[in-house]
Amino acid sequence: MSTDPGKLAESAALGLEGAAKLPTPAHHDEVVDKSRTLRGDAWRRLRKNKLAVAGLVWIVIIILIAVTAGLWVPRVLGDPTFIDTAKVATQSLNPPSHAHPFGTDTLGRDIASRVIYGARISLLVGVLAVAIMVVIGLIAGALAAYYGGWWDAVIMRTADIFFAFPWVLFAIILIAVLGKGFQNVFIAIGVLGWPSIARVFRSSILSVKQNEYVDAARSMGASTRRILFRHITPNSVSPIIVVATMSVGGAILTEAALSFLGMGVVPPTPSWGGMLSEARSYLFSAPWLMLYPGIAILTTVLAFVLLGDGLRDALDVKMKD
Amino acid sequence: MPPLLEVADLHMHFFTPDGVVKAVDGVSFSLEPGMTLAIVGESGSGKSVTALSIMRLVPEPPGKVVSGDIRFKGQSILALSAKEQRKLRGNRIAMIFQDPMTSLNPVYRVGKQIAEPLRIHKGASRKEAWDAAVELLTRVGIPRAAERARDYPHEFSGGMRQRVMIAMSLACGPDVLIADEPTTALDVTIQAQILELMQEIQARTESAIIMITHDLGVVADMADNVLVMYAGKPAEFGKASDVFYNPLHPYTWGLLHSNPRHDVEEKGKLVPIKGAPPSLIHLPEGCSFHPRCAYAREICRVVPPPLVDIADGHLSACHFSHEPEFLANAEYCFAGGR
Amino acid sequence: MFIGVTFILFLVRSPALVPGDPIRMIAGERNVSEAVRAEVTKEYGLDKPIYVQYARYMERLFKGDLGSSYQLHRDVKDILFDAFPNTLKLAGVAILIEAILGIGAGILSAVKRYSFWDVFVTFTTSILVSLPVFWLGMGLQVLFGIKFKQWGLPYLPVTHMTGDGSGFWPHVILPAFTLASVSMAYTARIMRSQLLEVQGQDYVRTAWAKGLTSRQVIWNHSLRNAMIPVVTFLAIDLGTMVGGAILTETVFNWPGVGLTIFQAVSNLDWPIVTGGTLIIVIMVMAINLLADISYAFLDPRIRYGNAA
Repeated sequence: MSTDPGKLAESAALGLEGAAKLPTPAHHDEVVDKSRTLRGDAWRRLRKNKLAVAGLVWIVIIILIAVTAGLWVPRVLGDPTFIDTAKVATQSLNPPSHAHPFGTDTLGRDIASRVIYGARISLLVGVLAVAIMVVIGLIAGALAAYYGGWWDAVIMRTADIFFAFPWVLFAIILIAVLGKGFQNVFIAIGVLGWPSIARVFRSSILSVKQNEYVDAARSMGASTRRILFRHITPNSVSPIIVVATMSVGGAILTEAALSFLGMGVVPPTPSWGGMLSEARSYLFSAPWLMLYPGIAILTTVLAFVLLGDGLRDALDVKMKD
Repeated sequence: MPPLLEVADLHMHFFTPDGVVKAVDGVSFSLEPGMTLAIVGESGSGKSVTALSIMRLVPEPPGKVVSGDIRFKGQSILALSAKEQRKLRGNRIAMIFQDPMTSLNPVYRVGKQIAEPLRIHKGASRKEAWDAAVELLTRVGIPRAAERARDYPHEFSGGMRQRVMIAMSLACGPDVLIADEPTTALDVTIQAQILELMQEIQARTESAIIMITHDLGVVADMADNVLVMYAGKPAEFGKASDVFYNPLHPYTWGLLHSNPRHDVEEKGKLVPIKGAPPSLIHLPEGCSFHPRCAYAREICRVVPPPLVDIADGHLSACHFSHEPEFLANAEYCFAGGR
Repeated sequence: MFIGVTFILFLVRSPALVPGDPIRMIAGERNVSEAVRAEVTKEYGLDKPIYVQYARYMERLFKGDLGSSYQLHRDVKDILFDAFPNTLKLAGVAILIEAILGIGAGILSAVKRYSFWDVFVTFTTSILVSLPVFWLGMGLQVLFGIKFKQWGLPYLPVTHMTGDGSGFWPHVILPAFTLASVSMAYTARIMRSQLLEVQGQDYVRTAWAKGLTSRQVIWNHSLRNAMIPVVTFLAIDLGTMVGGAILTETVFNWPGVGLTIFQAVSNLDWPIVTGGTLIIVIMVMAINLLADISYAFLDPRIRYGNAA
């Protein structure tokens, strides 16, 4: 049973059941081979998990739609940002219809197309933010674990602070300082999110470091650096993948929240959060404004969460249920 | 006068999606006060499940007593209601487990945990139970018992923890004490102390002990009778001296042969029994031991050997145990062996 | 650590880094003459170098003075004092809801594993975790506030309106529930996994072997151990809620700390931001400390350190 409340809270924040179990190989030679068969094994197990597969499929669908959007959306559904002033009076706030499957917004723009374009933003932000998180997290985790002592204490303490804190507040302040706009959004999210990656990476390094077979390998003459590198990488890849996947979902939610508050992506660029903010005044009169972007967020994040859950189960070598 | 505890042809099977696991397949023995029965076997031989069945701690489903009976003082335990079974548990029949580190609840003081069965079964007040717990701690050899009772499990060493477990099991003065590998997780020196303690207690209280172990040294020390189990079935049963000096079953030979003995002059080779225990779902045809038996013959592959009384209460489940020439194959004998 | 945080905050607030001219803001957004500018600068000490400003700030801080707002011309302290209780009330109710529903759901799904309830709870928690909190808030507003009214059912007020006579509780239900929603999911998950893990432990088996009734085993042994991390999580969550309720407060127009700070940020009213964040930081650290202490209190192994 994990007795570290911080770790537990973090695991919970990532939706992981109990403390993250790291796949520690039973003995030395397994580690090297595992990196080859682990993927095959894991893939098989993942496929069995229907929810995770559904999540993956949905993500692929959304990515496809988002990537190809430029090609067909403006023609089929209408331009997401262009306001046709001539038609505004008649077009605005129309409920869903054949021409506009999700309806139109206050300025006559087609909501479906805005939702799709919003997907591009959300996915981009998600991926980029997580990329930043991973880079910072890996460096921080590696430094903390490798050098230990003072470095470790400082880095981990800082991580704890970041972690326990209301990120919204920090994000808002950060953005207020950096300025609004697309870039700063994912930078802000990435910068705030590194602790989760750092923690996971650090503990996988530590678990390898303290494991007996490292001593065994060392007694055979391998240098410390080589050992750590060779043994850590296969070990740590799995939990980092899981955490990263879940974090994409989290990043999308954060982006939506920031845009909702007006601190994220700037209009007229469509963003799911921003659309929800616009919808506030029309909750009663035009509920479709609120409905579709919200569903988009929900399903996309859910897909990532399910996929993350599935990956965690599939990659956990020790789990036998 | 019916035996204190009697297990009569017990068959306990587990019904799993992968198949039926015949964990206990035809085990019988009886216990009288002051007696010690050792149940010996490899992992998966069914010894623990037998014990858990007596305690009625086997989850049903997926487990089920398919046939047979367990009788305490003449009355069938299986026929009792859950409530009545619970009243026996920890009270008249108590059990101690293998790993004292994890078997004690880390958040309660030791005294409280020992006092718990007293409060439940005997209705003792908190003070009465606590005082009794302190006394029990003294009895199991823990110094400064009054102070130590207020400590938590993690403040004790392994051997001390096992003593606490023993104290806990003795709280209500049980007639039968079941010990599932009580010394396996402990250092060798501590092992001896714990065994000594148990014998001492038995001498004083006349309780019967079922000692489950894979360590023949423990058996030699303490047991009156020995039951050797293999793949859920009894392989050999008899008085300890009989089983040790005149083992009848090839599996027993293998066990004796693969254990280092200190008191034989010549150092014979340690010979492990080749192969691995079979899956309890897909047991071999005929005698379950035949794939690993050096002396298996045609009949062994086809006909499961019945448990037969070879000599005055010494039983064996081998087709050839009654043949003296066959018995000469026992390459290893306890006294005057090679 | 504390110093680090305050320094960063202060830097952030200094005119060098931050957009918006504080002098104009203080004077009221009109074009400011040189004389007035000079005067205001002097009064606020804006002409002194940064470290001096910082020192002055810290000095006033220890006296309990958080400075005054650029925009609102009130003491930051007062502004926050007004806003704080609202947030606390909201967070308090939310934690209550979260604890009851979350723990209950977790226990239910662990005890009746693989049953309908377990599946239902797992399903719902997955969705709650992926849900944008503010969307849920809006949805609840629509459903309970507007639609119910339409359908003639008893409805709930959707914003923090005072003076409509219905009192505190009807107003707080929707926002508290919204705030609690996501955390509820986490609580349930932790409770469930802890309970399952504990039930497989040896000491639970010992408890059965002692002849305890199933209620005694679950209550005295399983739950008692499984709850420890859950309680700690709830404590930490309280801290997070206090600081992070901003989304819910915005949706429901609840005048709490989050909303206040947010508005301040939008208005570039930095003293409020600095002061407010400071307070929140202190509160969160205090609550986390309490959480750590409570953990030690509940788990004796931590209390006395690990003896052999």
